Amino acid sequence: MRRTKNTFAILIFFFFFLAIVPAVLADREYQIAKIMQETEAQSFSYEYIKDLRKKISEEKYEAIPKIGEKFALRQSGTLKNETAYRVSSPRQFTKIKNQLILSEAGKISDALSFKLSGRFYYDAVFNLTHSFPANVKSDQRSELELRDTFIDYSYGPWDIRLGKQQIVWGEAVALFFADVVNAKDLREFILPDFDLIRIPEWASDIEYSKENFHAEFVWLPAPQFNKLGVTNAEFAFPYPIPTPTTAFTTKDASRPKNALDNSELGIRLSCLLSGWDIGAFYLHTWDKSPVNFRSIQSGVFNFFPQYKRLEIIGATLAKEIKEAVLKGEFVFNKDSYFSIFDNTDIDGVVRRNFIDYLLGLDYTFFDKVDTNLQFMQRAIFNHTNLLADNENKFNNSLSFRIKTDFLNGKLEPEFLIIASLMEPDFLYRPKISLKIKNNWRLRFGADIFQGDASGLFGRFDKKSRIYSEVIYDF
Amino acid sequence: MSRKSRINIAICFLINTLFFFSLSTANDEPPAAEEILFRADQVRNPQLDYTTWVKVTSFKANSEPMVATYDVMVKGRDKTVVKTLSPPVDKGRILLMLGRDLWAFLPEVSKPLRISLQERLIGEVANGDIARTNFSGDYVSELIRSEQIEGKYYYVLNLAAKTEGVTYSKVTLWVQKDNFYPLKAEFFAVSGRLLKVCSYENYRELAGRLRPSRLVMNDPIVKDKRSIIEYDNMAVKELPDKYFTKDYMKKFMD
Repeated sequence: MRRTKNTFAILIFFFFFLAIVPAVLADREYQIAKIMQETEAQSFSYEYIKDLRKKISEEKYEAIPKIGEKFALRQSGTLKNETAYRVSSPRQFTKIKNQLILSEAGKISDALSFKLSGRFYYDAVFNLTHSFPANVKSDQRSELELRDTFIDYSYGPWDIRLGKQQIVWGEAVALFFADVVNAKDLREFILPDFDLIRIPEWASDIEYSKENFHAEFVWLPAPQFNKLGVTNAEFAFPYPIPTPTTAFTTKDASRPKNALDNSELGIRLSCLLSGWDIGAFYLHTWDKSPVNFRSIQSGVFNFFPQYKRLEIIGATLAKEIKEAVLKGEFVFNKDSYFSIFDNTDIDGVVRRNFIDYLLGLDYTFFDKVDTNLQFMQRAIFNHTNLLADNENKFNNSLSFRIKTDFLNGKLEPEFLIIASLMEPDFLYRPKISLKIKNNWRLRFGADIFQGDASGLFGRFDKKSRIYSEVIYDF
Repeated sequence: MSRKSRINIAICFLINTLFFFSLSTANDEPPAAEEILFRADQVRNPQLDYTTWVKVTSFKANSEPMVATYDVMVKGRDKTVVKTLSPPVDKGRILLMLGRDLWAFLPEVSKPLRISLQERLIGEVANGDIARTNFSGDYVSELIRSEQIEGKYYYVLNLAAKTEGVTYSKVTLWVQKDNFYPLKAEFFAVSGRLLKVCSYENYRELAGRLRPSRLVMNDPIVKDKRSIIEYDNMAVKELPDKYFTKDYMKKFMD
């Protein structure tokens, strides 16, 4: 039944796609015909090309600040509409989000520059429909936030970035593995663009570069934590309860105070040796998602989530071998907290070491089709069978992405699948991106979840959706 | 004048004649192929660190021409950073090339990703077409003939790639004899198939000397497919090593 629904969702998407593409192509043909008519060119003759070349070379270059030019300012922005429609029953719109991202970057001198950026969004689905309760509406309807806002100072081999920023480590495609520094906005799971999932955090990032060696020291004085979907949200954060019918209560997680003792510290060292891009890091951080401590009273699970410290040690590598690129990430988490389905356990959590690692391979076929295959494994030390969410001793999964382009890069179809190798648990992400003129982008896609309720993706089995995005860059 | 003196004068005259004859013969000898190539490279782009703006216009039959502009920084033989300035939909894309090692920085991902030489980030032209295009060092050159084209004399060089990492396996290059200005080049694949024909045009002052400011690259196989690469605001400037590291790419995005 579930498979039938998902097949139906995919069919809807492709029928949608089939309806849109001819219209876009027809419009393009019209535009081309118009240009040809205007230039009185029946074909791309030598004279036509010569004339066009002359016209193009007469155009002025965009005003670009020269290197060394002082007080140069650059403004840019993105206006975006994201609309999503749930294709599983009950079918309905789940997002009609309009957002504006503005940024201003500037250079005060060769050594000093800055960036200021912010985002505002309003999701009309909470006013146009009445499907979501007040707590979801208040959490997700609108938001005004300061995004990447920092100053950069450069002195010889040293660079310092101070301010609200994204500190991104790792090599993986479409997944967060070694990307552990910033908290994430997971209210829409891992579906938005990654630069919007990461929550910029106040930090100082000091970097030292010498030939092929690079060192980075990060300090985050005011840790941020993952934003998770509230109860009844489309992508609500799941609490570890034995059955969906189990009664439970929960409290808001208490966040640690902004104090020096609670700040986060990290160091990353990397170098490029004979084409091998290798790195290692250590991060004294917080588990960005709360640990669900619980008590049981009269059969009711009472959760009192708390944030806990986490020590992470990791390594990354990347190397081109022949015409393929090998990528790897290894992340060791010390004494991490796991929820446990053991009613005799006093607080419902146990501490275990675990390692997450990923090995990936990028390969381009026919100079045109880019592919990426990744194998991921989580290995939990001192494993017990009672861990929540069917956490096995080894959890293996695969991801595969294929991407190409047509029409001079204007049309980009892409398909991503992430699948567990331990149980039926899948996420399919077909997507078509269209670039129209110089400023407009359109995206049409589907996010199809499939699997058991305990699976990472299967828990959203009834949340599969099709979506469109209209983006204007300026 | 004694007979001996006359003989001495005759010998001196003969020696002088032979000397100047040999000198004039030596002047007719073409320079070594490596020197021609090196001098042509000096014409095409500065041999020191430099920055330039690049505009690439790609044409295909039945398709609107696509225009993209880039800010390019070049250091040493094989270090290049290409920052996309326009169109706005691609703005912020950055490509770092360190010889065969490539990284792409995409704004929506916000991190440098290692990519292969085959992945294209800058439209229809090859990554190596925008990077420093020094032939000497990458190719073994051989002078195969001289040619007269429209009243001017040219050396014709055959270039064979020294390693697999270069963009083209074989190149035939026409270089003007009197000033080492490159006129055109033909680029071949390993199989011997002609991939592109490039003409060096619109010589004007860039970074202190006359250089070709426009490269027209024609695809001999696909009719009406061509790319025009134009250079402007070329400036010689010492660039720090750290600009050419993957960790610095995020600084260029902002």
